[in-house]
Amino acid sequence: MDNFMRQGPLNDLGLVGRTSEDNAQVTMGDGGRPMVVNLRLDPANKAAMKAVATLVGVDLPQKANYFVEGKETEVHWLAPDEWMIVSQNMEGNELVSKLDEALDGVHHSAVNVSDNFAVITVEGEKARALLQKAIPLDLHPREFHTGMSTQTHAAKTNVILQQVSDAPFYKLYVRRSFSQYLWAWLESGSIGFGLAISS
Amino acid sequence: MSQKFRLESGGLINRDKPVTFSFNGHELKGYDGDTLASALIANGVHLVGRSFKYHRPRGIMSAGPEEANALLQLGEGAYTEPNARATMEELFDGLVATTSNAFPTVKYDIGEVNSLFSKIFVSGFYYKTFMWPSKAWKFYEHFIRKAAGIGKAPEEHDPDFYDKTNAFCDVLVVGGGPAGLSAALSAAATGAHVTLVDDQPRFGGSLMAQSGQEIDGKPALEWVDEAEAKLHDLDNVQVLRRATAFAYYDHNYVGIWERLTDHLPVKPEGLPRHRVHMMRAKQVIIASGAIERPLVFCDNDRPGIMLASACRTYVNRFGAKPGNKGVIFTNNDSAYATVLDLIDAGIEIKAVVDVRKDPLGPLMEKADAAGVKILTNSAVVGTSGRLHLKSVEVAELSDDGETAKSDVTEIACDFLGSSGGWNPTVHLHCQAGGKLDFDEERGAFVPAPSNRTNPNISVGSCKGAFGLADCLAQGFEAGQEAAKAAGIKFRKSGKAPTAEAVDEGNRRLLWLVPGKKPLGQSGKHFIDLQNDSTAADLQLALREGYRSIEHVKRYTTTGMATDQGKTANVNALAIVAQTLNEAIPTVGTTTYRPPYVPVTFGAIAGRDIDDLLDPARTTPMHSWHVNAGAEFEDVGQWKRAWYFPQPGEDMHAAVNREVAAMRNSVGILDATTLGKIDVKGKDAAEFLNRVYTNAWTKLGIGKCRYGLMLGEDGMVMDDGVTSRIAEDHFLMTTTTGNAAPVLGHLEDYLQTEWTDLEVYLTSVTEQWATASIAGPNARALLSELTDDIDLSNEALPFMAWTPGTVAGIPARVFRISFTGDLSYEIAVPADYGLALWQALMTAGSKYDITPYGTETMHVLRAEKGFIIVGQDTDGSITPVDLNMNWIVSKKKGDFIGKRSLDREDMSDPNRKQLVGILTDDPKEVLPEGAQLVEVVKDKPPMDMVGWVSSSYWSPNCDRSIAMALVHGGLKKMGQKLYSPQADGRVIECTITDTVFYDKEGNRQNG
Amino acid sequence: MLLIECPHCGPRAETEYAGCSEAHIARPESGGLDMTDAEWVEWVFWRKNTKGVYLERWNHAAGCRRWINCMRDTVTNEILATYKAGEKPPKIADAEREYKF
Repeated sequence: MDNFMRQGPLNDLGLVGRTSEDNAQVTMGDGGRPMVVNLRLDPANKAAMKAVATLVGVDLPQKANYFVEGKETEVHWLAPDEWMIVSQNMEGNELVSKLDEALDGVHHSAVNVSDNFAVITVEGEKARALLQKAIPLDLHPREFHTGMSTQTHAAKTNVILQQVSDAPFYKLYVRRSFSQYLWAWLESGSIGFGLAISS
Repeated sequence: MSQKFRLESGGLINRDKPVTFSFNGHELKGYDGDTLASALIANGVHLVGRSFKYHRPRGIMSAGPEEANALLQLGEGAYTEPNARATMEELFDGLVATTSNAFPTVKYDIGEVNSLFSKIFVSGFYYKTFMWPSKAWKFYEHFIRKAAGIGKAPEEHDPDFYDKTNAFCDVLVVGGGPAGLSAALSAAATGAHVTLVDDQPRFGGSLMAQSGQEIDGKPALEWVDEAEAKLHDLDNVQVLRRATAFAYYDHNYVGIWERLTDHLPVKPEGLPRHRVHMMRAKQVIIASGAIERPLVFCDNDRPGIMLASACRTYVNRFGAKPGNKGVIFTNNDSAYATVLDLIDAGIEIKAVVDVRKDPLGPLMEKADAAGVKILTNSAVVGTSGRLHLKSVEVAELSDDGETAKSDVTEIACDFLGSSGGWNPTVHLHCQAGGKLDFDEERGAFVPAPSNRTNPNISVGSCKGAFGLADCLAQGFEAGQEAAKAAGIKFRKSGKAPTAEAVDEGNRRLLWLVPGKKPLGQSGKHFIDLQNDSTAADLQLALREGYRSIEHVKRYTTTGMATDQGKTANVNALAIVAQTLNEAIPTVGTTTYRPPYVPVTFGAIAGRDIDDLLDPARTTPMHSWHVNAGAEFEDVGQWKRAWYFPQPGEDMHAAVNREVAAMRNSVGILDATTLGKIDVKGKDAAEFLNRVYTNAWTKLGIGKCRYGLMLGEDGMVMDDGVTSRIAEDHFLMTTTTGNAAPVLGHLEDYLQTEWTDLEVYLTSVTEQWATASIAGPNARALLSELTDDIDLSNEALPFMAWTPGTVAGIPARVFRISFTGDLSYEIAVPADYGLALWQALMTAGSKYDITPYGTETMHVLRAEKGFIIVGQDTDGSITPVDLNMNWIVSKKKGDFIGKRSLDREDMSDPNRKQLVGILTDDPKEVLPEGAQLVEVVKDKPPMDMVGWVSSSYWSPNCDRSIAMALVHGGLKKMGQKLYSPQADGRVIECTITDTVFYDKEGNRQNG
Repeated sequence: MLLIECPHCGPRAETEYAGCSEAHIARPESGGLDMTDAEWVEWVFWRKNTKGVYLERWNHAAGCRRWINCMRDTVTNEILATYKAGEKPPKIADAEREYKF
């Protein structure tokens, strides 16, 4: 499969050619095409949880609204029996096969949803103020901070919101068909902050 | 001479920064720090408009958000804005204001003739006059709308931009007066996250209008400045000025309307005009102050008649004189503060008319000592001056205050300040569901403790504590209390700011001040100045039998204007109570609803406008469709290619071409938008058995099956093809608009009813991009792009699927058809959707592959009689009604909807049923939604037997085709129906079955 | 806009939720096949419209996608409790707020 055939959902926006505003206080960018696998599994099944941990390199988080980092993966808590496994290196179908093999006979569902999402990054001094316009959760660090990841909505589309660092640096996982809408909404909300586009 | 009513010194205005503005075409001067109203008053302008109903001349009557008269048109062109309260608009260089409700000018307004007919403009006028004949309403409405006016809306697109944000805090303090500042300081000291909002450009609230107040031993405004500086320095405090808390919704969700650029002569780029903060506060402290209540006396609406506190505000805050010689009319001691300050400013007070028999109060005593003429047990019983107040008539009151004595004294004056006491601004408390208590002594409604849903604390004068010392103490207490309730841990420290406690004196509640003659016989006692409703109107409504205050309000329109009766409501209900001889709390208040003040639509919309009003969902192939010149159709939130017109083609021509191309060779459709759900687990087949009407257990791996999904009521809710991936693994498709509701519906059963089933669902709608190729050459085309899939009828028959590689991309190829022709749906990971599409277009060129849109798809499916859920069904249609009994399993036990299908009503032969409709004139295409009748009458009503759900021109049949839901339709094959059209034509047609083309189905099996 | 505590995710804005209907209306195990028309219609269509404390369901659609139960006073919008699907409603201390199934 030739990679040039692959078109991420934000490609149409022509971000590569975009110039940044002077004194930009917020930077937005295309978060690329990571592998994303959705996993459903009963957390009470300790052996199965362990088997998955071995495969993805980290224990699945059981604390709501948090993600954990393994060597090659990030695992986000989505629901009591649902996780999102993200990796820059792994391949989705391959991981699904491995999970299916490791969980043979155990009720589970591992689905490659890498193409399901676009990832929009938002960072900088005004990143929180910008996202707060769209998101109905309190994003003040005492409520939402680095290490957290949660499902919510941004403007009128659902997102998985992840705070990656204290910069602050956020990632929004959004259904790909909504991604151009969400980008346009956030860009519209950034008027007055100065917007830079990260490459 | 400019600003001849400007005092030589004083006021919180910047005399170094003169400002030029225009009013009704005249250029006038004011100062930075003025409001439009204060600048007009400094220029001696009181007459600013005409009243709503009688077109009586009206002047500025307040100095705050309660203004009922000075509603001006601001700005020009696209920037024009109606109903701006002059008292709230800050003056800036270049501001343009005009009078709203006058023609040709405010001084000579022809609408004033309405005054002569005032006997017919009584309460219920609109209801009484225009209820009959009903057709005449359209005629009357034109003139009423024109006459009613008050401002005009801009006709251009709003050039400003607006912003909106979610916001959160521990303690929200509404109001930056002494109580609010004290509360904010004490809450902030605990470490709580505090937001303080105030609708003025500077903090201080009532202190700005007062003189000589001291807090903690220093001048009050100095204390305010220090407080503000302290709050500014704290990281845990957000301060918003020019920001009105306009709405209090449940769970402490408060709308705050911040105005950022309205006061600036040059609007900075990048700054929104307004921003709404939707604030979720753990605790709210309401320190919204009080609004002075006017006395209701005869002809109380002339320009120059104001609230006493407004006179004081203009003098102290703006250095502007309301006039040169005034009369103050009061029932309480607070108006004497105005008297004293006005005298200090060199304004002559001709008299204080005090309704009290034996007035008590420290301010009155001071005024008395200063030699002010005080007329006790007296009232203003009449006024004169057409365009401006010239004199007032004063008479002594009878013992009970119900009448005035006939001995009348006329006092020449050019302004009158009236005070009937104070109404705590309880609006937010009440919007939050809070109840009110009635303070008999003050004649005022005060907040009861808040309910548990919306925890808030009212402090200061909005709680009925009108003394400065009380305001400060209550604010301090509430700040700590709110922080504690918000979960902040702190050690109590500090103490409340202090001020001298002052005795409020006594009051005499005289809700309706008698005139020279009985009410309604001469002159008008206005209650609601903006809606021109009078005390006589209220009494008429009561005589006509209205009792509930809510009904009286609507019948007389009292309190229904843009000011929402801020100065009218309590007077109105007190007069109603008095007339009915009931206690005021028994009559009760009308409901306080958001918004507290008018808020621009732009601010409420925020960024959700134009293209961002609703998400536009696009497929990976969207850019290709755009480049190909497609027209788009909204399906749910999706933008689907509707048709692909070539130069010179309309939709009809394009669809005919697309249909022919598909039936003759091969067409290609973007089918990405269908909902897709991955169904996994050992009970997956059993689960499908329960949610679809047909049986799934025996579906082979690699096979596909169409399913109808019902609700528990037995009605069709969705349909789609589900394919078996593995023994324990299926891929379900849903209709485009229904993907999320269907997933929710299925999760509902798994999570709450069938928790024993081992099934997991995952939405994969957007993981896959799907191109559907259809037509006799579809197989030939596909075979060119794959070498690992056997496309023979035997290997991949109709309703089967296989994994494989297409154009070098791993794909799932489904041999399913919504067109009735040989058809393949090719699904690839969405990132490769565009590449797949391009590969199919390139390889398909030799077959003249033709992209087609949803309109052609609809024609093709209608030719085959395939339904669209949501178009041919409407939530009241069962599979039996659709003549699809074949898909309802008789063998299976339970499935969702089964029991309902067995209900007696469901077998009624006269239910609406889906049938085909052919027009007698084959060229005639019925409009969708057209009603069908069996017997045509000259005019409605006629007995309708059904309606057209789908209707198209069918190129393959070379005639029109339609489907309709007709009562008992399945038993009426061949029967004639008629469709009367709005233009009077009647379209004749005949009932047929729903398959119009290739009835044997040879083509899809090809 | 209400603030509803998801038993899985924590307090969330009402806009994250979908659906709202009476809770604890269990589907008959028979699927109603042994019920009369009248009994079945009662189960399918009839819901309480309580003025006061009401037990209802919400789907945390923009969050964890779990269906949850909520005890809400329909007069004041006060939410007295939220709890997971399958759980029994908690006892509430306030005697005036008795709810009836």
